Amino acid sequence: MPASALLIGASIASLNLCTDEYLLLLARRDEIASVSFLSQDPEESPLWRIARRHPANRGSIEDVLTLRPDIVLTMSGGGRATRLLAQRLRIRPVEIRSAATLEDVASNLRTVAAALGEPKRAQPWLDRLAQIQRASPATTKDAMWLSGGGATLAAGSVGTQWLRLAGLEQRALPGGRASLETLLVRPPAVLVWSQYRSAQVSSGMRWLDHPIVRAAKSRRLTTDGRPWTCMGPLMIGEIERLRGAAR
Amino acid sequence: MTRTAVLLIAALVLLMMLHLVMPVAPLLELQRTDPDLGTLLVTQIRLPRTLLAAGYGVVLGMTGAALQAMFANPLASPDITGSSSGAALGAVIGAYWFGIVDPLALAAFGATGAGLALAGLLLLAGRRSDTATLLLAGVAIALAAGAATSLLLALAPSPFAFYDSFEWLMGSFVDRSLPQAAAALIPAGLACGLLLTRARALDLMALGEDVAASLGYPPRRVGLEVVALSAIAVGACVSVCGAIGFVGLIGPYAARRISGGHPGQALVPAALIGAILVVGADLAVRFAPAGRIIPVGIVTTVVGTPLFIWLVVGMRRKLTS
Repeated sequence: MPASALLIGASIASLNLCTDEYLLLLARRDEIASVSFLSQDPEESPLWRIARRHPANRGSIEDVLTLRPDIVLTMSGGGRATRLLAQRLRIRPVEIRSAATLEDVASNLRTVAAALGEPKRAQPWLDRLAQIQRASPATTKDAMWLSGGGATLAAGSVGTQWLRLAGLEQRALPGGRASLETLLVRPPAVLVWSQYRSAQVSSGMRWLDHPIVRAAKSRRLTTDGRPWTCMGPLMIGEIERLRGAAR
Repeated sequence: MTRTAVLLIAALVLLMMLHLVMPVAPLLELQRTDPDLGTLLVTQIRLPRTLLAAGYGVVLGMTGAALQAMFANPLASPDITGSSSGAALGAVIGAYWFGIVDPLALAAFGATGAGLALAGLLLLAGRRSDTATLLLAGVAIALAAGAATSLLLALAPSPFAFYDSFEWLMGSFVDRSLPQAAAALIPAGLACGLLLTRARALDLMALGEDVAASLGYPPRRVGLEVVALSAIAVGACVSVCGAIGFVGLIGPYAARRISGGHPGQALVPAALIGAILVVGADLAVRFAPAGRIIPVGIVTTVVGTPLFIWLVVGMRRKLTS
């Protein structure tokens, strides 16, 4: 009997918004013991409706202990404490990587599907990812992803790799921030406008209301800002949509 | 006095010009390639920042001098009386909890906050209290208002709001627009103009409250007018730029040396020194590494703290000698 088969029917608790995304996309309802409270927030995750079917946790192993999960799903780089604690409590810790490349996204899909005991469940997502990469436009347009306060995508980040798949080349900006002067003097061909928490007041949102930003001579595409937090598999749908809009 | 005023004005104009043209490279390039765009850059992006820095400095210097004259205390400045923190609290309530977007309405919230802080100070310490009482009451109000501002930002619907507390409590002129500058500077300018008309009353109050009263300036009324006008001026500026510390203390202190101790006559020099300090501090923060924003209040506080300590030590020596 393969080792993975032993895990079929295992229940998994995810402690992080980004690990929730993989779990909610790949697991069956009865396999999910808990997801983080962030995934249940419509402002944070497009998966909030299905996330609300499950008990919420606040990112601590203590929150999920009484649910007796077999596996706890966490992000790597969050310190060793959670992993050690899980092991001591006889819960198997499974870590996925914070996505720095598109290959990380594929690797995370495989890891979570394997933890669920059924590696083939990752395949439809891996196929979609491969397909979107194959169909990547040959030419790209000069673009800036824009969020509150001029925050943009750092050069070389996974965000810029996703954006390229939509035919948009994120311009490298000093400090990872778009300035009013740049928007006035050298506006990009396309502004990809993140709608993340756009209805809530913050000085970042006030910046987006500056007359220079509003009058920037760029084509404007809006994007659902929520998948951009984790840059995980939910990006596939968003990039397909942006690619169509950017044509 | 006149010569000093001319020198101060010349220094301020020079600093404002520098503030407007630095960094100069993009302006020179646009002058060659697209002069119209260069004009837009100056008028829409650089000018509001320069005007706000100078205007806010004028407000801090002048209201500091007026409050010091009214409280007969060299430590009574907008920050130490808690009015700047009160204004920030008012503006935060308006913007983040009532969803006010209009800058003028926000300025009204700021002015209300500053006014309530000053009213609280008068209630706690009285108008002619000793330095220690005034200082303690002011610090208590400033700390409470600062903590309430941070708490309300932490609980605001947007998780990004909490990061804004830095800007509200330490001030910033970055990326403000012309309508925002107008919303801060028009009410502040009117309030400062009216404050100037109270200069003689403040001079007379320094000679004694009965002297002022016998010459037609009831101290109570003058006090209320100074509080209300300072609250409007400080509140309007804080609602757009956040609170900036110590300028309201340093400006009047230096100005009194020029005016020979006449508090009313110190209003204009204090305003000019305040403007020089804030424009200078905002020039300094331009040298921050790319992509990093350093609130201008950090520079003024770093410069102002030693002076504050020196003032307190000096007063202590006077008391014990």
